[in-house]
Amino acid sequence: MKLITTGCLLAGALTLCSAQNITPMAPKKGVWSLGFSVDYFKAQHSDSQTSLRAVPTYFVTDNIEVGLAVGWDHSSGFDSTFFGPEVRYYFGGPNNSLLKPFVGAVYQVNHATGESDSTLWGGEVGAHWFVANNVAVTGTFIWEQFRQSGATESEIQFDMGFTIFFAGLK
Amino acid sequence: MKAIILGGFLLAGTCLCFGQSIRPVAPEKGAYSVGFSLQYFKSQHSDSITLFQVTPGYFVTDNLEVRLPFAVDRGFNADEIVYGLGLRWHFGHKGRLFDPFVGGIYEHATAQGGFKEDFFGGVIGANYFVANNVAVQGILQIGSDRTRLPDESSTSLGFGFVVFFSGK
Repeated sequence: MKLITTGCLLAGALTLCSAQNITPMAPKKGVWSLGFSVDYFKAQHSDSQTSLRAVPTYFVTDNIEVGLAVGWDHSSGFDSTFFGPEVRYYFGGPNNSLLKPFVGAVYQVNHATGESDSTLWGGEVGAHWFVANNVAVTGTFIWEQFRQSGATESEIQFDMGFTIFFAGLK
Repeated sequence: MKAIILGGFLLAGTCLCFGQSIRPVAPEKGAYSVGFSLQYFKSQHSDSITLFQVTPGYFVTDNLEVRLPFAVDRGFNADEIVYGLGLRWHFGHKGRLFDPFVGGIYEHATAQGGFKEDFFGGVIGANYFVANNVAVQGILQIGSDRTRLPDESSTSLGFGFVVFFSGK
Protein backbone atom coordinates (compact mmCIF):
# COMPACT_ATOMS: atom_id res chain seq x y z
CA MET A 1 0.00 0.00 0.00
CA LYS A 2 2.91 2.34 0.78
CA LEU A 3 4.19 1.77 -2.75
CA ILE A 4 0.84 2.66 -4.25
CA THR A 5 0.81 5.83 -2.16
CA THR A 6 4.34 6.61 -3.36
CA GLY A 7 3.26 6.08 -6.95
CA CYS A 8 0.32 8.42 -6.50
CA LEU A 9 2.56 11.06 -4.91
CA LEU A 10 4.91 10.73 -7.87
CA ALA A 11 2.01 11.20 -10.26
CA GLY A 12 0.98 14.25 -8.26
CA ALA A 13 4.50 15.66 -8.39
CA LEU A 14 4.62 15.12 -12.13
CA THR A 15 1.36 16.95 -12.46
CA LEU A 16 2.63 19.92 -10.47
CA CYS A 17 5.81 20.05 -12.55
CA SER A 18 3.95 20.08 -15.84
CA ALA A 19 3.00 23.25 -17.60
CA GLN A 20 -0.57 24.49 -17.22
CA ASN A 21 -1.40 25.10 -20.88
CA ILE A 22 -2.02 21.49 -21.78
CA THR A 23 -4.58 20.52 -24.39
CA PRO A 24 -5.16 16.77 -24.12
CA MET A 25 -5.30 15.16 -27.55
CA ALA A 26 -7.47 12.29 -26.31
CA PRO A 27 -10.12 11.07 -26.16
CA LYS A 28 -10.86 12.03 -29.75
CA LYS A 29 -11.88 10.03 -32.79
CA GLY A 30 -8.85 9.01 -34.87
CA VAL A 31 -6.29 9.37 -32.10
CA TRP A 32 -4.26 6.28 -31.25
CA SER A 33 -1.84 5.14 -28.62
CA LEU A 34 0.92 2.58 -28.54
CA GLY A 35 2.49 0.87 -25.62
CA PHE A 36 5.33 -1.47 -26.44
CA SER A 37 8.47 -2.99 -25.03
CA VAL A 38 11.01 -5.53 -26.21
CA ASP A 39 13.46 -6.99 -23.73
CA TYR A 40 16.25 -9.51 -24.06
CA PHE A 41 18.30 -10.66 -21.07
CA LYS A 42 21.14 -13.17 -20.86
CA ALA A 43 23.12 -13.90 -17.73
CA GLN A 44 26.45 -15.69 -17.90
CA HIS A 45 25.28 -18.95 -16.32
CA SER A 46 21.67 -19.17 -17.44
CA ASP A 47 19.51 -19.23 -20.55
CA SER A 48 18.41 -16.08 -22.28
CA GLN A 49 14.94 -14.63 -21.78
CA THR A 50 13.08 -12.62 -24.37
CA SER A 51 9.88 -10.68 -23.91
CA LEU A 52 7.71 -8.70 -26.32
CA ARG A 53 4.66 -6.64 -25.39
CA ALA A 54 2.54 -4.36 -27.56
CA VAL A 55 -0.81 -2.68 -26.98
CA PRO A 56 -1.94 -0.53 -29.89
CA THR A 57 -5.25 1.24 -29.33
CA TYR A 58 -7.48 3.44 -31.48
CA PHE A 59 -10.35 5.83 -30.76
CA VAL A 60 -13.20 4.76 -33.04
CA THR A 61 -15.36 7.60 -31.66
CA ASP A 62 -14.70 10.53 -29.32
CA ASN A 63 -15.57 8.25 -26.38
CA ILE A 64 -14.73 4.69 -27.36
CA GLU A 65 -11.20 3.29 -27.54
CA VAL A 66 -10.45 -0.21 -28.78
CA GLY A 67 -7.14 -1.99 -28.42
CA LEU A 68 -5.41 -5.28 -28.95
CA ALA A 69 -2.89 -6.54 -26.42
CA VAL A 70 -0.29 -9.04 -27.64
CA GLY A 71 2.65 -10.54 -25.85
CA TRP A 72 5.29 -13.23 -26.21
CA ASP A 73 7.78 -14.61 -23.71
CA HIS A 74 10.54 -17.01 -24.63
CA SER A 75 13.18 -18.89 -22.73
CA SER A 76 14.90 -22.18 -23.47
CA GLY A 77 12.21 -24.76 -24.23
CA PHE A 78 9.37 -22.54 -23.12
CA ASP A 79 7.17 -20.12 -25.01
CA SER A 80 4.07 -18.32 -23.89
CA THR A 81 1.86 -16.00 -25.85
CA PHE A 82 -1.24 -13.98 -25.19
CA PHE A 83 -3.53 -11.76 -27.17
CA GLY A 84 -6.87 -10.15 -26.57
CA PRO A 85 -9.10 -7.19 -27.27
CA GLU A 86 -9.74 -4.29 -24.92
CA VAL A 87 -12.42 -1.64 -25.05
CA ARG A 88 -12.79 1.56 -23.00
CA TYR A 89 -15.56 4.11 -22.68
CA TYR A 90 -14.63 7.66 -21.62
CA PHE A 91 -17.13 9.65 -19.66
CA GLY A 92 -17.60 12.98 -17.95
CA GLY A 93 -15.56 16.10 -17.71
CA PRO A 94 -15.24 19.03 -20.06
CA ASN A 95 -13.09 18.59 -23.16
CA ASN A 96 -10.27 20.71 -21.72
CA SER A 97 -10.14 18.80 -18.43
CA LEU A 98 -6.80 17.12 -17.77
CA LEU A 99 -8.57 14.23 -16.07
CA LYS A 100 -10.12 11.65 -18.40
CA PRO A 101 -11.88 8.86 -16.52
CA PHE A 102 -12.93 5.64 -18.23
CA VAL A 103 -14.43 2.23 -17.69
CA GLY A 104 -13.58 -0.77 -19.81
CA ALA A 105 -13.41 -4.47 -20.39
CA VAL A 106 -10.57 -6.83 -21.24
CA TYR A 107 -10.42 -10.34 -22.66
CA GLN A 108 -7.30 -12.42 -23.18
CA VAL A 109 -6.34 -15.86 -24.47
CA ASN A 110 -3.09 -17.33 -23.19
CA HIS A 111 -1.06 -20.22 -24.53
CA ALA A 112 2.05 -21.68 -22.93
CA THR A 113 4.30 -24.63 -23.77
CA GLY A 114 3.11 -27.78 -22.01
CA GLU A 115 0.01 -26.16 -20.51
CA SER A 116 -3.60 -26.03 -21.56
CA ASP A 117 -4.85 -22.73 -22.92
CA SER A 118 -6.28 -20.27 -20.44
CA THR A 119 -8.55 -17.28 -20.74
CA LEU A 120 -8.99 -14.12 -18.78
CA TRP A 121 -11.77 -11.57 -18.81
CA GLY A 122 -12.39 -8.62 -16.61
CA GLY A 123 -13.61 -5.10 -16.05
CA GLU A 124 -11.55 -2.03 -15.38
CA VAL A 125 -11.99 1.50 -14.12
CA GLY A 126 -9.31 4.13 -14.44
CA ALA A 127 -8.28 7.56 -15.56
CA HIS A 128 -5.66 9.42 -17.56
CA TRP A 129 -4.15 12.57 -16.08
CA PHE A 130 -2.49 14.51 -18.88
CA VAL A 131 0.97 15.89 -18.11
CA ALA A 132 1.57 16.96 -21.73
CA ASN A 133 -0.70 17.23 -24.76
CA ASN A 134 0.25 13.71 -25.81
CA VAL A 135 1.30 12.07 -22.53
CA ALA A 136 -0.85 11.00 -19.60
CA VAL A 137 -0.21 9.31 -16.29
CA THR A 138 -2.67 6.43 -16.33
CA GLY A 139 -4.01 4.53 -13.36
CA THR A 140 -6.22 1.47 -13.83
CA PHE A 141 -7.88 -0.85 -11.39
CA ILE A 142 -8.81 -4.21 -12.93
CA TRP A 143 -10.88 -7.04 -11.58
CA GLU A 144 -10.45 -10.17 -13.66
CA GLN A 145 -11.39 -13.82 -13.79
CA PHE A 146 -8.72 -16.30 -14.85
CA ARG A 147 -9.86 -19.66 -16.19
CA GLN A 148 -7.72 -22.71 -16.96
CA SER A 149 -8.71 -26.39 -17.24
CA GLY A 150 -12.15 -25.66 -15.82
CA ALA A 151 -10.84 -23.95 -12.69
CA THR A 152 -11.40 -20.25 -12.16
CA GLU A 153 -9.63 -17.74 -9.97
CA SER A 154 -10.40 -14.08 -9.46
CA GLU A 155 -7.62 -11.53 -9.47
CA ILE A 156 -7.25 -7.83 -8.85
CA GLN A 157 -4.64 -5.61 -10.38
CA PHE A 158 -3.66 -1.97 -10.09
CA ASP A 159 -1.34 -0.44 -12.66
CA MET A 160 0.10 3.02 -13.06
CA GLY A 161 2.35 4.35 -15.80
CA PHE A 162 2.61 6.63 -18.79
CA THR A 163 0.35 6.41 -21.83
CA ILE A 164 1.52 8.03 -25.04
CA PHE A 165 -0.98 9.24 -27.64
CA PHE A 166 -0.48 10.10 -31.26
CA ALA A 167 -2.67 12.25 -33.49
CA GLY A 168 -4.50 10.46 -36.23
CA LEU A 169 -3.99 11.14 -39.90
CA LYS A 170 -5.60 14.46 -40.86
CA MET B 1 15.75 -13.22 -31.43
CA LYS B 2 12.40 -13.30 -33.22
CA ALA B 3 11.04 -10.85 -30.65
CA ILE B 4 13.92 -8.46 -31.33
CA ILE B 5 13.25 -8.63 -35.08
CA LEU B 6 9.54 -8.05 -34.46
CA GLY B 7 10.43 -5.17 -32.18
CA GLY B 8 12.64 -3.75 -34.90
CA PHE B 9 9.79 -3.86 -37.40
CA LEU B 10 7.48 -2.24 -34.85
CA LEU B 11 10.06 0.45 -34.23
CA ALA B 12 10.53 1.08 -37.94
CA GLY B 13 6.77 1.18 -38.45
CA THR B 14 6.39 3.65 -35.63
CA CYS B 15 9.12 5.90 -37.00
CA LEU B 16 7.64 5.87 -40.50
CA CYS B 17 4.26 7.03 -39.18
CA PHE B 18 5.48 10.40 -37.98
CA GLY B 19 5.91 13.71 -39.69
CA GLN B 20 9.08 15.75 -39.92
CA SER B 21 8.03 18.74 -37.83
CA ILE B 22 9.46 17.34 -34.60
CA ARG B 23 11.65 19.45 -32.33
CA PRO B 24 13.13 17.19 -29.65
CA VAL B 25 13.20 18.74 -26.17
CA ALA B 26 16.29 16.70 -25.32
CA PRO B 27 19.19 16.49 -25.00
CA GLU B 28 19.24 20.01 -23.59
CA LYS B 29 20.39 21.41 -20.28
CA GLY B 30 17.46 21.51 -17.86
CA ALA B 31 15.36 18.90 -19.66
CA TYR B 32 14.38 15.85 -17.66
CA SER B 33 12.79 12.49 -18.11
CA VAL B 34 10.82 10.27 -15.79
CA GLY B 35 10.36 6.58 -16.37
CA PHE B 36 8.03 4.98 -13.88
CA SER B 37 5.62 2.13 -13.42
CA LEU B 38 3.66 0.70 -10.53
CA GLN B 39 2.01 -2.70 -10.57
CA TYR B 40 0.01 -4.41 -7.85
CA PHE B 41 -1.37 -7.90 -8.39
CA LYS B 42 -3.33 -10.18 -6.07
CA SER B 43 -4.94 -13.44 -7.01
CA GLN B 44 -7.54 -15.22 -4.94
CA HIS B 45 -5.26 -17.92 -3.54
CA SER B 46 -1.85 -16.31 -3.35
CA ASP B 47 0.03 -13.39 -1.86
CA SER B 48 0.08 -10.02 -3.53
CA ILE B 49 2.94 -8.79 -5.68
CA THR B 50 3.93 -5.15 -5.92
CA LEU B 51 6.49 -3.77 -8.34
CA PHE B 52 7.50 -0.13 -8.37
CA GLN B 53 10.25 1.42 -10.40
CA VAL B 54 11.12 5.01 -11.10
CA THR B 55 14.10 6.52 -12.89
CA PRO B 56 14.25 10.29 -13.01
CA GLY B 57 16.85 11.66 -15.39
CA TYR B 58 18.13 15.23 -15.62
CA PHE B 59 20.36 16.94 -18.17
CA VAL B 60 22.95 18.87 -16.18
CA THR B 61 24.48 20.04 -19.46
CA ASP B 62 23.36 19.76 -23.09
CA ASN B 63 25.17 16.42 -23.27
CA LEU B 64 25.32 14.91 -19.80
CA GLU B 65 22.31 13.17 -18.30
CA VAL B 66 22.29 12.05 -14.66
CA ARG B 67 19.88 9.25 -13.75
CA LEU B 68 18.73 7.87 -10.40
CA PRO B 69 17.16 4.42 -10.77
CA PHE B 70 15.06 3.17 -7.86
CA ALA B 71 12.94 0.02 -7.68
CA VAL B 72 11.05 -2.00 -5.09
CA ASP B 73 9.86 -5.55 -5.62
CA ARG B 74 7.58 -7.09 -2.98
CA GLY B 75 5.90 -10.46 -3.04
CA PHE B 76 6.26 -14.19 -2.48
CA ASN B 77 8.48 -13.57 0.57
CA ALA B 78 11.01 -11.61 -1.43
CA ASP B 79 11.36 -7.92 -0.72
CA GLU B 80 14.04 -6.30 -2.80
CA ILE B 81 15.10 -2.67 -3.03
CA VAL B 82 17.36 -1.42 -5.79
CA TYR B 83 18.87 2.04 -6.11
CA GLY B 84 21.74 3.47 -8.03
CA LEU B 85 23.28 6.12 -10.21
CA GLY B 86 23.56 6.34 -13.97
CA LEU B 87 25.37 8.73 -16.29
CA ARG B 88 24.84 9.09 -20.02
CA TRP B 89 26.80 11.13 -22.49
CA HIS B 90 24.71 12.18 -25.50
CA PHE B 91 27.06 12.76 -28.41
CA GLY B 92 24.72 13.47 -31.32
CA HIS B 93 23.80 16.86 -32.71
CA LYS B 94 21.25 18.86 -30.74
CA GLY B 95 17.83 19.04 -32.37
CA ARG B 96 18.22 15.87 -34.42
CA LEU B 97 15.64 13.09 -34.21
CA PHE B 98 18.39 10.52 -33.63
CA ASP B 99 20.13 10.93 -30.28
CA PRO B 100 22.87 8.35 -29.56
CA PHE B 101 24.48 7.99 -26.15
CA VAL B 102 26.93 5.96 -24.10
CA GLY B 103 27.01 5.68 -20.35
CA GLY B 104 27.53 3.75 -17.19
CA ILE B 105 25.36 2.51 -14.38
CA TYR B 106 25.84 1.39 -10.80
CA GLU B 107 23.04 -0.26 -8.83
CA HIS B 108 22.95 -1.63 -5.30
CA ALA B 109 20.31 -4.20 -4.36
CA THR B 110 19.31 -5.42 -0.91
CA ALA B 111 16.82 -8.14 -0.08
CA GLN B 112 15.62 -10.25 2.80
CA GLY B 113 18.11 -12.53 4.50
CA GLY B 114 20.98 -10.08 4.24
CA PHE B 115 21.24 -10.41 0.47
CA LYS B 116 23.31 -7.66 -1.11
CA GLU B 117 24.39 -7.21 -4.68
CA ASP B 118 26.22 -4.56 -6.65
CA PHE B 119 25.86 -4.16 -10.38
CA PHE B 120 28.26 -2.25 -12.58
CA GLY B 121 27.53 -1.86 -16.24
CA GLY B 122 28.08 0.06 -19.44
CA VAL B 123 25.33 1.11 -21.81
CA ILE B 124 25.15 2.17 -25.42
CA GLY B 125 21.93 3.21 -27.05
CA ALA B 126 19.93 5.81 -28.87
CA ASN B 127 16.70 7.73 -28.70
CA TYR B 128 14.69 8.27 -31.86
CA PHE B 129 12.17 11.05 -31.32
CA VAL B 130 8.66 10.36 -32.62
CA ALA B 131 7.21 13.50 -30.97
CA ASN B 132 8.82 16.57 -29.42
CA ASN B 133 8.80 14.90 -26.01
CA VAL B 134 8.64 11.18 -26.82
CA ALA B 135 11.38 8.92 -28.14
CA VAL B 136 11.69 5.26 -28.97
CA GLN B 137 14.74 4.15 -27.04
CA GLY B 138 16.95 1.18 -27.79
CA ILE B 139 19.61 0.31 -25.27
CA LEU B 140 22.26 -2.38 -24.92
CA GLN B 141 23.62 -2.93 -21.43
CA ILE B 142 26.55 -5.14 -20.47
CA GLY B 143 27.54 -5.50 -16.87
CA SER B 144 28.51 -7.64 -13.96
CA ASP B 145 26.82 -8.56 -10.67
CA ARG B 146 29.07 -8.68 -7.63
CA THR B 147 27.83 -10.64 -4.65
CA ARG B 148 29.35 -13.05 -2.20
CA LEU B 149 29.04 -15.59 -4.99
CA PRO B 150 31.32 -15.50 -8.04
CA ASP B 151 30.68 -12.49 -10.26
CA GLU B 152 28.26 -13.03 -13.10
CA SER B 153 28.12 -10.97 -16.25
CA SER B 154 24.90 -10.23 -18.08
CA THR B 155 23.75 -8.68 -21.32
CA SER B 156 20.41 -7.03 -21.95
CA LEU B 157 18.82 -5.32 -24.90
CA GLY B 158 15.61 -3.34 -24.63
CA PHE B 159 13.31 -1.14 -26.68
CA GLY B 160 10.52 1.09 -25.39
CA PHE B 161 9.18 4.61 -25.20
CA VAL B 162 10.78 7.35 -23.11
CA VAL B 163 9.02 10.57 -22.12
CA PHE B 164 10.97 13.82 -21.77
CA PHE B 165 9.89 17.11 -20.27
CA SER B 166 11.28 20.47 -21.22
CA GLY B 167 12.98 22.28 -18.37
CA LYS B 168 11.62 25.62 -19.58
